[in-house]
Amino acid sequence: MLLIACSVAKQSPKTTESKDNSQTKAPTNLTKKIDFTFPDDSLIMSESAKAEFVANIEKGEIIYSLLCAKCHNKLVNGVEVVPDFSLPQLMDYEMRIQYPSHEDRLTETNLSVKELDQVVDYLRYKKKTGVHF
Amino acid sequence: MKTKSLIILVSLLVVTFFSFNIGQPTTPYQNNYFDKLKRFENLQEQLISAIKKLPEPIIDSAKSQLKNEMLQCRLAYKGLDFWMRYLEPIAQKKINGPLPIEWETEVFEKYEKPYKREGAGFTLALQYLEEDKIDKAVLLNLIQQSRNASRVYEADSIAKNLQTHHSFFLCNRLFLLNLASIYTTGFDCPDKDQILPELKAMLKEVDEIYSSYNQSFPNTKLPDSYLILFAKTRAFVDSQPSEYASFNHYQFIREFVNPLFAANQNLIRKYHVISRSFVDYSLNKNANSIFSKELYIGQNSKGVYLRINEESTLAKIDEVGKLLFFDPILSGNNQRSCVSCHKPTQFFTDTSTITSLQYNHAGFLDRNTPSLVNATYNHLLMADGQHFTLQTQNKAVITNPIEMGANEADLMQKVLSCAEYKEAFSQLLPFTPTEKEINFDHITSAITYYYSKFSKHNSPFDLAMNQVTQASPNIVRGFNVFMGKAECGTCHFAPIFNGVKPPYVGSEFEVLGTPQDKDYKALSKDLGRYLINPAFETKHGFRTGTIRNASNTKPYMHNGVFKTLEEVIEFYNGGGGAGRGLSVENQTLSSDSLQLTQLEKEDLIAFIGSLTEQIPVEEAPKKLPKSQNNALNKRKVGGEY
Repeated sequence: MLLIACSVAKQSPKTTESKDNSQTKAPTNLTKKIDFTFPDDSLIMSESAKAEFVANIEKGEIIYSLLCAKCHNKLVNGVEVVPDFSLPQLMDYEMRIQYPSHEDRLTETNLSVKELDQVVDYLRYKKKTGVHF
Repeated sequence: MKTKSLIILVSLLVVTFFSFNIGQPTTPYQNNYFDKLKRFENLQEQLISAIKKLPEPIIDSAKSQLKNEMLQCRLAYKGLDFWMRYLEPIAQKKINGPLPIEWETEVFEKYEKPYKREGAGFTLALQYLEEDKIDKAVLLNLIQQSRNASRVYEADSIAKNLQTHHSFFLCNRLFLLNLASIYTTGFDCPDKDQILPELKAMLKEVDEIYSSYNQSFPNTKLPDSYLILFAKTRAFVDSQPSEYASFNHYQFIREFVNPLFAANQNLIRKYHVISRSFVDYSLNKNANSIFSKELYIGQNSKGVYLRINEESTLAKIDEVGKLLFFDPILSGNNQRSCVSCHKPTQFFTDTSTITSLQYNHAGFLDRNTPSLVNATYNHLLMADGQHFTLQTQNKAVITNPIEMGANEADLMQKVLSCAEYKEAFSQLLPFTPTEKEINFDHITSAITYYYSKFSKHNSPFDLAMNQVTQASPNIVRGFNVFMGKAECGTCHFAPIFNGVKPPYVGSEFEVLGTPQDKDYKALSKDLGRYLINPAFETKHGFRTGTIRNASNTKPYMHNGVFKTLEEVIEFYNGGGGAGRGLSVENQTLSSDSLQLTQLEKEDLIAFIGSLTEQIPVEEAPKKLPKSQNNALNKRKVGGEY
């Protein structure tokens, strides 16, 4: 994996309206940073593929916080941390079936195939916190 | 150093010994499994050595001897099918696969390219034995592959499933579903004379499995009521006439299989059975009947709104979905709507034309409009299975230049120019937190949610199968012909009667040799599935559609070539395209005549009629949402096609 640490400014709808100065102005407190690495083949990824990748990760993060964080996040020194998952733990459809606690939660009626992929991408490429699940 | 290595060696040996011991059967249930497996493997070995010893060319008397030995293997296999299909369905296809090559796109991998799965085993070997010239190596290969696949089931990774009660009830569920869908139709038993003997053998073997299970798991037993009903099931099968054509599938499923299924579902809930297999992916454990629309979860009709369960919010989505469904604003020329081809009064298809008009009236489309009713009970959509979700399918039609001719940017701008749409979607936006603004996904999700509600209704046949009513004698006879002599049930699987068979993880395609015209002068030029997944087997292959509501969804076949069910039945009765002399080298339908009598054909049509679902009358909306753009306000409800 190529470890290109990236920070992408994730803007709230309010800041996107002022397109012209969004790149020059320092991030406001409405702007949140997400840190992640691009996949191995990012050097040959087109700009649009990169943008799609970032959008997917952002969506994955939202879905994670909505559906997964409650059980999976860890408290470290009073701070809530998203733990690191190993690749075998992130085996797409197997995540739905390998854990009894997922049986009623990770159904296709509660999390679509596309959304599951987004969550997996987010967890796979997010910056490691060093806290293992 | 030496002593250290010795210690390591000894401890390794100890570990090996113990892990070997752990893998050994310890309960009667596990013993039963390994006994059955051993017996089957021994028979396979005997068969292999018998084939090896045969002098070539293989003479007829040797063939019938081989056939007998293979039938013995099949009977032994029937004792394992209960576990094999559930615990390792891919290896099972090598042991007794129905087809030499299957292209599969299963539920959990549907975004990947279809997998090529090569079948082997007894069904194929028995078919091969019927050929004039037999190559010993080919025959041996089919059996050797089956033998090798059996070894998979010795593995600890599979056998460990027998240590808890969980997989037992899930194996049993699949077994019961298959009793209603494939075990009695000859799906993997081309020799019809063998269907009933094999069914009886299987029920006997499963009875043994039940006893050994109950001895091993006293806290999660099959109750006596279940076992009594199972004994009655066996007695019923034994009481049936020996000729297969007379088997009463209707009574078998209605009075025995389905009540057993309901009891098993109840036990799955009561004993908190947990699945760890993709085989249960699509099944709802709260459904209490095989003939319940709740059983197979099917497509996600809610799309991006999937996590909404609140009635009043769903009602809003339904309302806006209905308006969009009738609104020609979705088309490039603002004249064509979804209802132009999917008419609510005609089971959401168009029965008035062979294939629908193209966009802007430029000729006709290649394929017949499918009914949207029950579309949700599919893994792959469209006749060639090119779409995985209802929403991408919906988008493709709206933006197809020869169907609705819209482009996404214009469409969004037009829809949001209507205050009513904008307000409705804005109110729904917080329910899709990953989406920053209203987009095409919201529109298609509302549409698919709206029309999918028409798939939830039952037919008179469902009511009969659920013992609410009793079907009339001609319908019962028709169902029995459907499942038996006419072989319809080998592709149109009960209970949905489309190409999705238990455990509902994939859609099947068939090559029927559908002609271009009714006079069978030429094969339809449409390559079907081949356009999506090019392979010899997929050429002219089409996804198996449902029989439900077929009495009301004429014309038939992918190209609408047949106008009546009588014509369709004649087509199958004559062995499809190949049976009529067309060259269809990869036809999956037998080219032999079914030799149906006039009464049997009439009964089939009566049965199909009983699958007409009680769909409520849908009134068109009085008016469409007003746009800021006055030119758009001339559009008519439902469009003008």
